Amino acid sequence: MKPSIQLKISGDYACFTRPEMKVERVSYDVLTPSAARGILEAIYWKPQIRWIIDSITVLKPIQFTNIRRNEIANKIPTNTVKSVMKATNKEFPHLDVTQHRQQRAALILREVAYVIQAHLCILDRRLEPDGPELPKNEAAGKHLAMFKRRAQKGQVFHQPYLGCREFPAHFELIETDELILAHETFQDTTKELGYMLHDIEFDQNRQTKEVKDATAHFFKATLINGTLKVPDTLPFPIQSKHP
Amino acid sequence: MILQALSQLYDRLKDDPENYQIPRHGHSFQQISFVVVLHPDGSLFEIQDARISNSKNKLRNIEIEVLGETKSSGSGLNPCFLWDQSTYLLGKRVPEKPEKYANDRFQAFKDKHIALEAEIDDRDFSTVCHFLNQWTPSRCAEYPILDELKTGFGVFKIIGAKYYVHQTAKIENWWQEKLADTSMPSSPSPKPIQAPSQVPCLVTGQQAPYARLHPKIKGVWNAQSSGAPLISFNEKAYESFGKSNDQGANAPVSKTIACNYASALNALLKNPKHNFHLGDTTVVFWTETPTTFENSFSGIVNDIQDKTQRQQIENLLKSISTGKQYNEFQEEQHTDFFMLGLAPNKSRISIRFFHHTSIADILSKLHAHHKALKIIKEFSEPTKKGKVDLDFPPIWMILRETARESKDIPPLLSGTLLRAIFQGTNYPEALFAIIIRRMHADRNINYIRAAMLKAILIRNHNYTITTMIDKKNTEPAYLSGRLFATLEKTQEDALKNLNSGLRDKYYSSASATPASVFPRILRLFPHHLAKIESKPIKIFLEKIVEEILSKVSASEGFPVQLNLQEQGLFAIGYYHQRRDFFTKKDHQEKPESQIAKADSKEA
Repeated sequence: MKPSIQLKISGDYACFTRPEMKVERVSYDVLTPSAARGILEAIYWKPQIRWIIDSITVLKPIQFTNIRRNEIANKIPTNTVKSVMKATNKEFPHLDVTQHRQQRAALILREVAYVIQAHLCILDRRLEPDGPELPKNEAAGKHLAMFKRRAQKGQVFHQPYLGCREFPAHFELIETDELILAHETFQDTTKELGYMLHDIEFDQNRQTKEVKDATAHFFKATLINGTLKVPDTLPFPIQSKHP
Repeated sequence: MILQALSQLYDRLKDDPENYQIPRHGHSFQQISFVVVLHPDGSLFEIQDARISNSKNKLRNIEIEVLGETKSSGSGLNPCFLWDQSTYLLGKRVPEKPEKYANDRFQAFKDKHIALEAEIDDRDFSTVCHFLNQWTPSRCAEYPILDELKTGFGVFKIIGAKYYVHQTAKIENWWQEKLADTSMPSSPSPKPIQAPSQVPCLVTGQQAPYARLHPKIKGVWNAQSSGAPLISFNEKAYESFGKSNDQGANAPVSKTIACNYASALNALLKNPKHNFHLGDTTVVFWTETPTTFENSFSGIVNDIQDKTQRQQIENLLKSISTGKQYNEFQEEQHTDFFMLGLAPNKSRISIRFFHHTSIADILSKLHAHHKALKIIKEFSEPTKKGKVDLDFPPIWMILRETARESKDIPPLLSGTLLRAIFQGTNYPEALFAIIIRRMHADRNINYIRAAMLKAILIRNHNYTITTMIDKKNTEPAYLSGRLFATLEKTQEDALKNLNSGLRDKYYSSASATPASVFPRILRLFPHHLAKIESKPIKIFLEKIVEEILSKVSASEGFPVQLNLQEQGLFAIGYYHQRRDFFTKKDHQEKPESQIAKADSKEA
């Protein structure tokens, strides 16, 4: 039996930004698998597990709205921060916001609600770095129980958000096995969503955690009867921290 | 979704060259102002002004297909191939910059072309190179026409030839070959880039080399005139995954797709049949296949009085008002219809909305909108000044009612109103509030304002309001509006030629706080009534006031305060009653002369 869960997500606004319209943000029509994974990881995650999204069901009709936000154009370079940490640079890194103001428009979603169906993938069968290795089912069971407890209590590492940190998500664990149906407007419809971001592959150095490269992977998304089915396998291998 | 729809549109447009200007791959259309005409030996013959005067007798640049994409913005050196500004082409000095500025650019242009002379090996091209070699920038002073042309673009031509130098067959072939292996940017980037690697394109899903810089879109209202890209990552804060300086890698789109969608969008923006403005948004629309609906659609939103399309638009409007699909649109019903709203934001273009549905759906939404709006007209026949109330007020007309001057119209409202109409969702509440506010300010309750208020109350708040006056309605706000109109009419009939009547003085306060205002104005009523000579009119007006007052006293008297929605109802009641006074009735309750006089005062 797959260690799977169902979580209901809702929020007032959401912005699952399309990579190509990142500057003047345009949202995808539906929750992306990587955003769903982000929400689950906010509730419970350990380096030994990875959440894999199975499907996303849309509970409310898709509505858009326009907003404009004042942001800044530049970033403080990480090397500056690193050099201050190492004390080679005495000057405190700063950014004069008034010199770099930019106003960015965004086309975001309004009043969203989804049901995420996901399962755990165990990368490392030990619960602790120096603990014993557990049988697969037991490890999965323990992680799943921890997730369920936390989701019921509303415990999170950080507030889960719908695409951007400004749009917090409310969540509710679905205990029963019942199948939540999509919104009635989606009944007997098939909607093509084009290519959607599946997830991002990070090429990361194990020791230094430095990210060498990040590649985005896409999949052809179709909303069948209001449910988006995510491809079973990730297009790249996931490795655990320890060999 | 958007890019995918546009690149599919490209396939349709490129097979229709007479209606849509699609440049070939690796080419673009540019505005050219002058031509440098050379002798076959390389010496300069003359610099011709290429502009032609249009219907308004203003000189306009001509548009020619040239090699390479639109010039990228920025202060670096970026010479184009066989076309550029006079600073690059001839080294013409720019007023605010030092001499070195122009010289550097001319040198860069010269170097670029001379370096390719051996490779291209064409007689005309060599002529150009010879010219560039012997040309000195100081000679620009001999040609005063260049001062007039300023930053216009120019091309080369050999004397006696039919075509420009860049249109020679040999150069074209060489250009196509160059395109095939690597990208030939019209502007060499400051850092040498490796050949773009194969990545999955996010539109087609196939592996292909991605476009580092996306081509520019021209024709969006109030955006940068030289064009702005739809997709760009031109500041550090917009980059992700550490892909700085490699802009397009942040969102890999294959080069062909980038070229396709940009060409399609540019072609739509050039063709007035496919776009219209609303506030600060430029809206483009298209259908999957050529349809008659596409032709008539701009007639609805823009109210174009194009004689040739008049009949088609009439048919479309008729099918909208009856809710039945007209025969022409029967076959087209299920064709996909796309609408994209673009707005300028500094040097970029942002997307206001994207709507994808079928023609049948659009027709039904327009029908719903029309049904909600329907209200008795003020001017059903054109007045002496040509003013007439339309069955389908175009959207810009509705928005015009929200401000005293068109520049004060709130920009976001246009997008939301358009979305509300085409998606069938609730109208923006802000529109309601603004119209009420304008009515308080200028005390003008006209057809469009009343119609829009009615539409918003019906759709957003589930009121039932009739098209004409409803004598059975007992809502206090509606009755107050009717009463106000009657009292105003009495005053008008009694004291002709008033400078500021009841409406100017009391409309605001009456519509907001009826209980405090109506007792005062009702006291004037008998005095006005006494001054009216004609007995039938006296009785007629008195009867209406009696009827309204009896209904009001039956329901707890005048309301102390009216909230925003009720103020809207007040305005509609006022409008209905006023229209009722000026509609000719079959059984003559009023003498003809009174109606005619009142009509002329209204007009």
